[in-house]
Amino acid sequence: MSLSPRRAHAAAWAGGIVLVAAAWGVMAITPGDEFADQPFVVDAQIGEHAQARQMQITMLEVQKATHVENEHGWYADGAWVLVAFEGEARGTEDGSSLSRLRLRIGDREYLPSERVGSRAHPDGQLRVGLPETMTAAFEIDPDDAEKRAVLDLGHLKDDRLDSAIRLDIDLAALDAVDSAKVPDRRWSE
Amino acid sequence: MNDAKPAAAETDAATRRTPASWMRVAAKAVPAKWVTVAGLTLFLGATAAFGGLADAPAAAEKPLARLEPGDVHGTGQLEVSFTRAVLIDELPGSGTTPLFEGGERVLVVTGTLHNATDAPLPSLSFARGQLVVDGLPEKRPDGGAVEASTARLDDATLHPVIQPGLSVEVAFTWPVPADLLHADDELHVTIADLTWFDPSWLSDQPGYWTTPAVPAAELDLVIEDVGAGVEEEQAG
Repeated sequence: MSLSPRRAHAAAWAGGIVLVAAAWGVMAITPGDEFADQPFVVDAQIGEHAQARQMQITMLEVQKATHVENEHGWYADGAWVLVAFEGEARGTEDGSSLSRLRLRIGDREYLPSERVGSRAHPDGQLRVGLPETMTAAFEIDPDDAEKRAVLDLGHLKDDRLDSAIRLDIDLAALDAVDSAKVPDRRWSE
Repeated sequence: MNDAKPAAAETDAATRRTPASWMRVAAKAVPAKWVTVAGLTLFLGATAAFGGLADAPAAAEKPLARLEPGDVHGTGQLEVSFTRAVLIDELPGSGTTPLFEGGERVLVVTGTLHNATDAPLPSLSFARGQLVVDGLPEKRPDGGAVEASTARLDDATLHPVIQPGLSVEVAFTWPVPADLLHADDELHVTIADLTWFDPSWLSDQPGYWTTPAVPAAELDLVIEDVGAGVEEEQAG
């Protein structure tokens, strides 16, 4: 059985349209370049070890405060998010510095405040077998204090193809305390 | 063409019958150049009827916005305002240490920086790249460069980073020769904006702010001389 010329014509058109649509579909679902580079995300939970390639982090506590002070007499008011954690290097101290430590709220990205002083600021090298406890203090826009935040932590500023330890924080679920302490970075007990 | 038409009609009567066949003959007979010139003439004529083509906008020098002390200027990244210019013998904690043997004092400009972007911005790179104070020497008595330092006014944090959405009062300081500036002189300050570069037509990378910094606003601050500046030391 053979199609009439008219039918064959229509079938060719329909086939062409289907192929174009299929090509568009393949384009639409093909992941972009960044897909192949994305970090290996490690979801952290309070009180549990989170292991990245070069480090092991244990999130200890998340606080929201309207007033913070360090151990040396400095204090400040504002909207603050304090994340206390314990960290140590795994296997080697090469590549165990905590260069990426940021709090993402929506499109915004905050860095730990340098106002707390260098002794309390949590950046720097982690040690093998010697866990340290430290606190990242983020001073944020008060308008962001009731939103969802993600703490992102890792070895390099560039997180492509590397481990990224992330902690989801629901700021609305936290009660702001009147005063919180930002302790110095210290060896864990 | 009208002359040629009857002749063509005699040889081939069918060519005249439909507009399409007439077009075919006309297209063969008319040189392409004529069509181009006629089309261009029509286009320019139509343009002229509506006032002609406008001149390409000249890359005009944008006049500097004139600010008063306390006025806010948006650079696209930071919203900045400046309030005071102060001369002081020294201001510990400001990041600027005057060389007393070289006869130096400290020039302080106070202002507020508000971060209007979604990422932290360093106050120091703003002070050194986008803030120009007229009349400062290039070299210090010891040969070092005269460079700005920044410090928070509230807790003297040196070179503070301005987090997104936050405003910070900052003291900008420079070492200056003691006899260069005097009380009641006007200090001319120029603020430059960085240029937004959007490579989206080349790649899918996001845009970013980059040099050159283009002067965008200016203001004059009347200098106060507070001598040894006992009051000011609290701020530092």
